[in-house]
Amino acid sequence: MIDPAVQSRLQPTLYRLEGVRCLRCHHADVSRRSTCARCGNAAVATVRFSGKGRLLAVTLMARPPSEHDRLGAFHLALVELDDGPRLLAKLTDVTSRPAAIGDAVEVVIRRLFEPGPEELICYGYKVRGTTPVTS
Amino acid sequence: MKPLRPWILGMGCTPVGEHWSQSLYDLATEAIHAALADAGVDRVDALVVGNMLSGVLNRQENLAAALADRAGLSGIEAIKVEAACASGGAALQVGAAMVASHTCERVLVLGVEKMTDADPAAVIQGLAYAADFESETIIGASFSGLSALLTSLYLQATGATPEDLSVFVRQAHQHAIGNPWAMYRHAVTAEEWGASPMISDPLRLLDCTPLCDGAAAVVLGRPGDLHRHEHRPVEIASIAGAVETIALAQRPQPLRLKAVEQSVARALERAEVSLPMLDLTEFHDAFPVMTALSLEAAGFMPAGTGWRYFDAAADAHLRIPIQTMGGLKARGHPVGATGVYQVIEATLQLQGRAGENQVLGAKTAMTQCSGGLGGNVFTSILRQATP
Repeated sequence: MIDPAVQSRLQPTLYRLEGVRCLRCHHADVSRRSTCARCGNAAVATVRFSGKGRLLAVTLMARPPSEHDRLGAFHLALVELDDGPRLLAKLTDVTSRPAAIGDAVEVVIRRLFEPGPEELICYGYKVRGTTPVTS
Repeated sequence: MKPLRPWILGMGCTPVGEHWSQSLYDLATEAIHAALADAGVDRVDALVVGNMLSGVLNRQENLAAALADRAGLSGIEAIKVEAACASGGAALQVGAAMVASHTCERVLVLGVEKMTDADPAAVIQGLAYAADFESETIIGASFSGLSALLTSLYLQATGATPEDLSVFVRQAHQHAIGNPWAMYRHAVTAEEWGASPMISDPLRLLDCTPLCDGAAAVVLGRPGDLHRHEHRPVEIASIAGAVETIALAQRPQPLRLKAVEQSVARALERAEVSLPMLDLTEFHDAFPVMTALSLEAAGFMPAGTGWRYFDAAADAHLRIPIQTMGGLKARGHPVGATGVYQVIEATLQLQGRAGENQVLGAKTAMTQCSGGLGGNVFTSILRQATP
């Protein structure tokens, strides 16, 4: 569950993959932050990222936190997007073979949480593999 | 001006474990009274409490007032300090500063965490609040999940295997056998490690610190205060913190723990100590990759080689005993209490009272606790003082 005001503020990031790119050192993050994580510069441009990238690391979390354990274990992925930033996201559309390190992945929009008392559904980004599975 | 370096006047702690019959208040009171008795006083000027999750798990904020009152210390000043898993180190920083600035004559620093009352998934959720909410916690990340990703990056970069990293687990368990308050006083073999279930691959159950309860307290005061000559006095030569970007994905160099580098450099400088003068160190070994990366960031091992610390064939800048009383892994990691347990254990080493785990001739020790995966780090330098 997530509070409606928080959800509303995070929509540009969660729905459209908006973030920031530093105008000084060009470091990029998928985040609402107003300063650069690398150099601390306060001049950052709002950017919309591509949603294409590759998998840097993935883990199957057997013991999820209580707000995310309704469906049991899930894959948590660290992705590097083609246009620079890294992104933490759940891996989705997992079939017999989950995406592996180095695989191409793409960002898709999925439901993040079950609706709370306000009956608002919180959507957001997840990632899925795009490398064809060969047997 | 010469800095005032507080002495540790007394200390006490509960065993670390699953204390079903004891509340947050019971554990805190036990540790406070043990430390006061050890110092030989019945009152201090202030209580500083290191704790992370009392609001989330125990429904008790205003914690310092609640605990001071329960311990019979009504009237003193009391505050809670929170810095996730580094809350104990942060509380020591505040308590030591109160003494050093002559704001208070004697300060009791307590670290306490009561985790086992709540459902484990709720505890895992509570701990996840130490991650970046908008980009990590909201996604569903747990700390074992984040650590697993960090471990994966480390293994890819160094060529080490999960079994290579498990050497830190086996060593910590070996050392915990001689620690009377450790949660796991038993050895772990490579086979037992390999047979333990996967929590978040490549991390197995035996790679992860347990959910547990504990409280640890020290009384800090001015040099020479209350000295009764039965134990060698120990001074806090320095404490220094540093922070960096919490979110793993937003760190420019995730395999470089910058806050560890900075807090170690600052702590050594403030203590006027150089790295080779250290005789032992307690690192924040919440997960084996954190030990390896901390060894590198602190300057003990070249980058990418921390996992070979116990391999005599690998080059090291400094090789001294670490996790001498079992570390977080085997003593246990009652989050906000950990930084205080580390200081108690290092003090025993400097006083020659560490029993079968004694590091012979230890004069100077470093302890370090880390909030999140190196997001907020506090490093302390402890040293034998001259009576």
